[in-house]
Amino acid sequence: MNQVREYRRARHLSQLALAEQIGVARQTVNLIENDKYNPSLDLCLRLARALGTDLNTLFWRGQDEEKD
Amino acid sequence: MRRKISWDDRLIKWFYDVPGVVDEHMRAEVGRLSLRALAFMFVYDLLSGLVLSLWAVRSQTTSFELLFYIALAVQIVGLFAITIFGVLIPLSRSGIFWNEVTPEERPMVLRRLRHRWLWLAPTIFVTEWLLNSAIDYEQGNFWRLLFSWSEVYSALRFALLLGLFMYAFERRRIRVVKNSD
Repeated sequence: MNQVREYRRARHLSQLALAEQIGVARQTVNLIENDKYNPSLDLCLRLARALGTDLNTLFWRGQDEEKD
Repeated sequence: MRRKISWDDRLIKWFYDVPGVVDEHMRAEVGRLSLRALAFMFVYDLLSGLVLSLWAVRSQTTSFELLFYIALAVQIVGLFAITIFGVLIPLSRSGIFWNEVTPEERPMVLRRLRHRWLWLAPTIFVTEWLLNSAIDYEQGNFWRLLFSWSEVYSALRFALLLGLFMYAFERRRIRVVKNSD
């Protein structure tokens, strides 16, 4: 699972507020947080910038979490 | 964040009546389902054309007008079935058609919806009234037909039913989303 939800909550942002900030629909943020949608690199970068972190921290999966 | 809206995004927004922003996820979903629909429609058109041609050639039919209407009905039914079941229903399940609003925005959105239908319904009435009278022109004098009670009543009934249905449909699409999470 990615860390989007944790970082969003740490910044006291709602899904709606984050979605407006990065220019997507709220459902897309929800899908990303629940690992049901793989965002493009551009969207990942926008997310990382909006949440004040980097791609590695936000999206990196450990070896034991790697999906087949 | 203001981004330039491409013509494809405008087309998606208009054709599917999407209330929110057209983002990459929506483009991907619409693209996937539209591709599926295109493939189904292509095969359906080929098969239905083949079957109808064979029937026209092999059968003893001389009523080509009837054949034309059957072919038209088959095309329209297939088109609507593929569009509704292949594209619109799967898209609606993904929540793309919901008009998500916060609890604070809900009264304003409802008011705007009511005002919209307050001017749209009369517009539909006038358009339907004029079109219906124009299409019925062969039956008599256009102006006498236009101001006949039956034409006015028919257009009024249509506008009322359609207006109420569309208002209820758009109202049902409004979803309240808590702004906390």
